[in-house]
Amino acid sequence: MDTSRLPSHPAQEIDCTQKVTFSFAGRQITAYAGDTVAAALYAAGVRIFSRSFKYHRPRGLLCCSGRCPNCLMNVDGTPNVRTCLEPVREGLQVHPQNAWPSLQWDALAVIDKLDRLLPIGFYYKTFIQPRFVWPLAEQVLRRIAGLGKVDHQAQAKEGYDHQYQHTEVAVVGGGPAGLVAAREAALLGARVTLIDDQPALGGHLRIQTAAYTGVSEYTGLRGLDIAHRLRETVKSLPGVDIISPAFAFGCYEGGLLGVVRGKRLIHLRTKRLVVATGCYEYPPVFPNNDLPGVMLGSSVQRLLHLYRVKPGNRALVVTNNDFGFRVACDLVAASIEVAAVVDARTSLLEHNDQLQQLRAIGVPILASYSIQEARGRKHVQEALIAPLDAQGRPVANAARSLSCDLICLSTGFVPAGALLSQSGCRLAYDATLGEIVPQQLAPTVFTAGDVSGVHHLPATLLQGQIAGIQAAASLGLPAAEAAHDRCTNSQQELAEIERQYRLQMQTRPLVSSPRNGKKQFVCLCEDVTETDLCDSVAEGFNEIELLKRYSTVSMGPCQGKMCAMASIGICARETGRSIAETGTTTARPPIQPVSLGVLAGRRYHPVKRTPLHSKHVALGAEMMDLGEWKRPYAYTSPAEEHKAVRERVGLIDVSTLGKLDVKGRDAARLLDKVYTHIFSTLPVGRVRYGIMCDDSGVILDDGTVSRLAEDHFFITTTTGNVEFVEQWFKSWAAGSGMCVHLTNVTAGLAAMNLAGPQARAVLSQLTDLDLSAPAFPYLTCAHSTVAGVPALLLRIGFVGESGWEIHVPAECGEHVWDAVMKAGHEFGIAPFGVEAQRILRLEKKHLIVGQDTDALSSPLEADMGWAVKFDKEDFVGKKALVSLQQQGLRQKLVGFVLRDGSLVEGGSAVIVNGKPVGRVASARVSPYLGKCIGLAWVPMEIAADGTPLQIHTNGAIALADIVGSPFYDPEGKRLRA
Amino acid sequence: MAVPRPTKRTALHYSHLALGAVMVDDNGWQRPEQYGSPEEEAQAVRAGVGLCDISPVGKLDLKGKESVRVLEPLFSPDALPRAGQAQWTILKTSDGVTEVRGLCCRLGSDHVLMITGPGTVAAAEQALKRHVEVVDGCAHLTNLTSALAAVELVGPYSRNLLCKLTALDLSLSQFPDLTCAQGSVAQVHALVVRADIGSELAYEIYCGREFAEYLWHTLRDAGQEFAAVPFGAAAQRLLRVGA
Repeated sequence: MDTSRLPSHPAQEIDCTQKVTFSFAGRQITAYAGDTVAAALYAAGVRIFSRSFKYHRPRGLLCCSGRCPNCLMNVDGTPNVRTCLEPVREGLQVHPQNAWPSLQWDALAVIDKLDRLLPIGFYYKTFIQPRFVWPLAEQVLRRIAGLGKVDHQAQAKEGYDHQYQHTEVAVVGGGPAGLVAAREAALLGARVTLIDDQPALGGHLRIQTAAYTGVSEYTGLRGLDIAHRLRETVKSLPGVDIISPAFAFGCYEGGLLGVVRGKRLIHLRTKRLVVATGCYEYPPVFPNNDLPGVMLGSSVQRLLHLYRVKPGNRALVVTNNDFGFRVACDLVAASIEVAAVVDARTSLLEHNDQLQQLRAIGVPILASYSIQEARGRKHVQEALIAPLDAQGRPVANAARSLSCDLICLSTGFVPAGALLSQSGCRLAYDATLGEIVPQQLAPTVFTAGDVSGVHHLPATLLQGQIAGIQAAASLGLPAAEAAHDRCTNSQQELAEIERQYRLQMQTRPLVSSPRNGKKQFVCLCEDVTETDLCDSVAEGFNEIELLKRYSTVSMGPCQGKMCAMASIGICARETGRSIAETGTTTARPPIQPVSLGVLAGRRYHPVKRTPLHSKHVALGAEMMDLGEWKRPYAYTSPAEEHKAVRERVGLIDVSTLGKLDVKGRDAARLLDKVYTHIFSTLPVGRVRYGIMCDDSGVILDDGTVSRLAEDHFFITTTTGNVEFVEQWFKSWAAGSGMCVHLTNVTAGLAAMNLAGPQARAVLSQLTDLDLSAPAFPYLTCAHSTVAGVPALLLRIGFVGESGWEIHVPAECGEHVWDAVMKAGHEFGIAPFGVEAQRILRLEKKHLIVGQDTDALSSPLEADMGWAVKFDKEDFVGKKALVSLQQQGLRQKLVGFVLRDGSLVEGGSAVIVNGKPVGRVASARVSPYLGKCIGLAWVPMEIAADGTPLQIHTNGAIALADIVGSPFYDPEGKRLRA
Repeated sequence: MAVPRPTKRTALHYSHLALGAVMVDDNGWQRPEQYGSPEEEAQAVRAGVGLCDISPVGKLDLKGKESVRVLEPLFSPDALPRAGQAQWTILKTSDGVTEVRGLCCRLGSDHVLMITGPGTVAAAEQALKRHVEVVDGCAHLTNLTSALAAVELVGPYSRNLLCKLTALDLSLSQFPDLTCAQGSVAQVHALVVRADIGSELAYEIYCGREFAEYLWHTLRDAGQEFAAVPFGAAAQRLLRVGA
């Protein structure tokens, strides 16, 4: 029999037939399947679980439910794992954080004694003068403060992924309220998704062994049995999808919930939201309240019942509500001595079953008493308890000592209302209940259970029922009509129960222990004490949002779960305001820390490939990324490929060009409107260059327009711009009544440009079409077959040689490429890539939109005035261009040649008198000229042909001359051959 | 001039070869017949989820305010698909004899995509062109067979797989059989059509041909947790027979 564990318990979640072994700081720890790492460590005698953020004080288990920072450790290389939630697995490697050389003996604990040097906000006051001190100080501080460390050398974690789900009613919280709400909604026909973050459904009922009364059909049953019944009912309903264990970390616009289950992020879109998230138990503030051995009451219950771990030998229970009695009874049932129960209330409800049991056993129950201080070296050894006066303050000099090794705190709950704040609901302080509770709900949001501030199972079950029915009814489900009367009855019953509940509430003002030099912690995550908050308020940070940001209270891993109420209470007290007036800070997602890996999920990098992709790879091309497209940079060398095109014939894959098929009676009208050139006069079978501008006359894109029929055009756009151009056209057509329809056929056509003096000779072997210059002149198009494949041929020439752009159905692309290469073999055909194309086009001064133009370039300045038809009635950008023409151009895109053998790059500055006045847009070495050529934007004053330019490059100045005409074949004779 | 009939290859041609597919000719297209054993492929699909390259199917895009008038002769009034619905229909060619089966996907009030078998797209296009001419209004037909790639996901986990990659609401009640919707799938624009095969859940995903390889690999990658398998034409026939 394992003596480290208590006897068998009906609520246990461990399986003692399955042993699991893991290592902790070099020690082998034996645990059971179902254990959490923290529970197993506690059973093995570990009491210090971490060292605090700033002072390196020893910290032990406090909440056992993932809401405080005390149990954070490094598990299998992942830092900041909440070991109180982490299930044990065979072979886990667990290491402590932020403690050296060990948790037991941390060298930096000396900082605790240096607190005078490190007051609140010290980094705004100290270590900042003289200026050089701070960078040094910062490095030291970064190393000694903080939580876990990320291992930068570790392999990226695998397995993160996303998924998308849709539902009608999302119920967050699988406790009694959520289970009842899910059941009701599902029975009325709604599609329900239930989300719960615990290993099993049932919420806090899982750990309650006492019986409940006043809960209709469940009266007399123990909490864990009620949980079991509700759980089984819900699991059997086909309309309920259960996501567990998973936590909803935020509610976003449009009913979108972010839910994390392990490494999976679920985007859950819901029509209705039921928030049944319960509440967090939080600790009171008193000197040394952070000692190991100080635990929340529910934490003690979890250790006892779920994991059968003995939390201590002699306990003090501190409470101000009836739950404390449950905890005390549970301790007694586990044969743990309860030294006393101190209750801050003045009068107790004697009919309470647990209170009666405790009195019967003889456990001292002290009303109007509270804890004044915890004492011990690295662990609780004794407590000071004191009676309270009428104002709730400890009576001076009346404290007495109680020896104990466990202090159970059951003094307050805060509703877990963050999701409500994020979904458009309003929470406010309820003075009777003493908690910040939902006051006004958004129309699609419902609440039930402890989150309402009422901690009473009869009320919880009714609230759940009402929420479920109302959520289903609001969806307009027919079956919900019939439940209307049942709902009304329940609402009446609930109102009465809540009225009674409020009558017997006794709220106590915040108990403030007198200061005695020992730290009283408000925020355990950031080591913020009560003194720190009072000092901050005194320094002027007296609004709750300012106080938070200055002191960093609630900004740690727990995000205020443990410290929100205390910090609000202290702020209220120090500023003389009420809690309602003080308000709360904004609760933003994520409510619980979420790893960046989970948010990123699987990384998608959409890649576009042309129909000829495999050809390039097979030819050994060096591939490059052009936006999302993969294109060949070069097959051999750009210079060799350039030579092939100029002297013989080359073939390039231009499938990436955007291609739009435009049909409709008003197609020509739309083109005239959007382009600066005129297209309604374009004859069928002709091709024209087109530029489109925006309203301010700035170039958006350029391309070619081919007229295939009266109401049928084929447009090409710059690679990567087709989606934009399509949308641009559509936005101008929308609402205009024009009959014009565009279809993106970019990927449907494989396109290749056959260019060079021998292009005609090659192509004529593959088609019957008359390709001679008179029959097929420059800037015309025709349909034919090429290598047996139906093709559209465009006679255009980006690279400045006689050539054809051959467009064929993508599935036949490889066939045609192979046929062309075969036919071209005897002529010395060479495939050429993007780089060679860039050089070839630059020699012709053909511009590339986006490379040579930017967000300020107009066609007039880019030397494309010939493409702007001012005599057109109207086109997008006309007004601006007319205006520009009248005012005069201020800059111009010019060609230049460098005088000597130097090189410049795109982006290099054009200098006048030592100051930059322009920039180089593109530059390459021209094999034709044997020198570096380029395009540059220069002010009009120096834009004349022949003007010398100074270009700044690599710390030196290169001299160049402006060349007005294209560098190669300025009259375009080769193009038209 | 005498040239060999051009072979048509889908964008996934080399991906199939890399998986060891045995390719066969289907109406001029190269398609994977099988990757291993067709019976095993079919079984794996029925147990989990399978992917099939169906890119050769004909895709005829019909746009325009009066495109619904083109459809009217093809359906009885209450069978005409509404936006978001897909419906099977028969197209008759001009000889009055040949009948071509097509799935008419109504993408919007003015936008239809007609899907036909790989061998019948020319006939279907001709038949639809006749209807367009009769309407003689704002209705325009474009053949997108080459421009769109298509992958079929079949099997009980096909929906789970797709739900990892798209925010479209694919709940069975919201997206019943013969529903179509456009949206983002793995961050590329796509059309999703639910077209169950008998009792097997099945979805057809249409995307730009340029993204085909990316989408195929992403589907296979995301499908690993469901043991997704590629399946060929032989297994496809087995699944349709069993339907």
